[in-house]
Amino acid sequence: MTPALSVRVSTGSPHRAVLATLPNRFRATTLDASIIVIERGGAAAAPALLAGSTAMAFLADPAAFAPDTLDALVAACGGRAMGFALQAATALSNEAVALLSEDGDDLPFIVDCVGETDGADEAALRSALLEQMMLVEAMAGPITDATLLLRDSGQIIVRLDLASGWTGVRITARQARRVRFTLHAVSPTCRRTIEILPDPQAHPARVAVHDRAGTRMAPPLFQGGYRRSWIDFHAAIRGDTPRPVASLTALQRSLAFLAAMLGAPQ
Amino acid sequence: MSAMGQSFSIGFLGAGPVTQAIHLPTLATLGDDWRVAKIMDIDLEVATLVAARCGAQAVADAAAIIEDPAIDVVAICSPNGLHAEQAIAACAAGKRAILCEKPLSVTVDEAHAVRRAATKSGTAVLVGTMHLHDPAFRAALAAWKASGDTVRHVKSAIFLPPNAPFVRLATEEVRPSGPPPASSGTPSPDAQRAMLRQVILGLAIHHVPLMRLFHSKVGTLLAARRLSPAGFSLLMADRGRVAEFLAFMPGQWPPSWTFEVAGAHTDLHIAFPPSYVQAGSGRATISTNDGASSHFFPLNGYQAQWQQLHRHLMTGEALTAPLDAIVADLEFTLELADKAAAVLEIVE
Repeated sequence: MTPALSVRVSTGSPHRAVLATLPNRFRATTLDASIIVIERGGAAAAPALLAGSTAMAFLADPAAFAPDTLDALVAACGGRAMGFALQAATALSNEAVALLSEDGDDLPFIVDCVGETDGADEAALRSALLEQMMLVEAMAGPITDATLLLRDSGQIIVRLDLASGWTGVRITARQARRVRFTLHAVSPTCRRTIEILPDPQAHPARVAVHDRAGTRMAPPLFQGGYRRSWIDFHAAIRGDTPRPVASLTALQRSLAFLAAMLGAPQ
Repeated sequence: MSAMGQSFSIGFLGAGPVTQAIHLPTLATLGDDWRVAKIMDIDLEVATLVAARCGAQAVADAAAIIEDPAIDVVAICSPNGLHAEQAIAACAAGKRAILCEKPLSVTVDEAHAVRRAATKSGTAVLVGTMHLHDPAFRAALAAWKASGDTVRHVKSAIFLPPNAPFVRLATEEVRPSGPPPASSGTPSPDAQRAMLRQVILGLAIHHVPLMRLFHSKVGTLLAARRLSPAGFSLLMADRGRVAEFLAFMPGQWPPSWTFEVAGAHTDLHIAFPPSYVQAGSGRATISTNDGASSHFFPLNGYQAQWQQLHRHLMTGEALTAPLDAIVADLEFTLELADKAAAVLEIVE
């Protein structure tokens, strides 16, 4: 068995509990390690930290990165695998992704996505927006345009257009009492619904497709997005083919749109 | 006689699917609170066939109902453009009450004229926005108010397959409705705006009274899309609150009527049953971080609205939506349509 990779992660991080469920793959530590978890406040310093190290980086809050900072980090890692934590897109099981991709012969007229966050600052709203952009990309491919519709202290609403022909996709990040993501995509032949209550470890995404045959649901997989993010990261380290739900390219593209609309992250 | 003591007579203006598949089956569940005395349709054959089913008299002239002193309540189920004129005539004839299918009228001036006429005659007016009367919605609304929370986001989502299969579950139409006419060519921009207005008056109107309880002013229209053949996606913001109206029909999936409100600490979600079928109330959930409570009742909104109208006539119980609220609902709807037309994006 390949030894578990050591992960430097703070004691207060929610990723500690996630890593504890993957003991064959990872071992959490506060000392030097093979993998360094970059928390929100460490984004700006991350390129310099990784440049002088042989460690790999795992981004705990990818929305905290400005596009150029992420580019610098990628360069600093010099081809070493890099992981990042998502709660929404990665919570989709392979079966859910397959189900969502069925019957996709007509374009949805309405795509309404909401990301609720219990965070009280704009950084939390920004993270919720990024989660939704990655979720939409996982379903329908690259985002080609993003337009800010509303920005106030409690919510941000953005319109997305995608290369696949999905237009007028609405994503909303909203302060709420909990963290939750929902997506509703409606075409004349198919309604797709997703609800993700992102317990870091084990809450299943509810994915359903409604069409003329009735309603089908993806089998519930009791695995949260963070846990799946770590598994995907481990697969990338091993050189396995990545799942099509959270690519670095999509992350870079989404961060660029966020920066253009909202400015650099604080 | 009903348990409450009196049976009131109803005259229906219009004998189409709403009368046949919604009101007559609903009234059949309510004992002898109501008697269907007359049914009018411009097609006398249809009126005759429908009237024969409920022991009523068929007529082809609205005046034969409106001017009949034996009729207590006029149920207006005619084309939208006739609603106000018929409501005003019913008031002038001194009717005790009107149950008018939504919308009350197609212009604000008409709505004001109905209000003046009803105020003068003392005629009760109930507009058939059934989800406003849905017992589960009323229970959830009370729970929401008790929470004292502040509204942040309101969303109405209406996704409907063709009506015909549901009509067939509720009745056997005397003359089944054909499919809606297919559109030919691409309508002009003005025609598109007119179509958006029609579909807002036809679909959004169902949930405008619910929406206004949480988001009272249209505010700024941030986005509006008209979806062909019938649908829209509307986003509005007012004083820190955001509201959405989503609707599309016909689709090839099961029906879905939902209405939801998000506050800082409390969420309200209700899924209503399909129209036409007698499937009880919606299923409402009030959620907080301490848990959730659910509401469901055996009666649906149509039954509840007729029951309330009966109690109003018997005891003077206040109607859920007073006249001023009904007129404000229409003003909101037409303002929404006008603002949406101004920022309209058409999606074919």
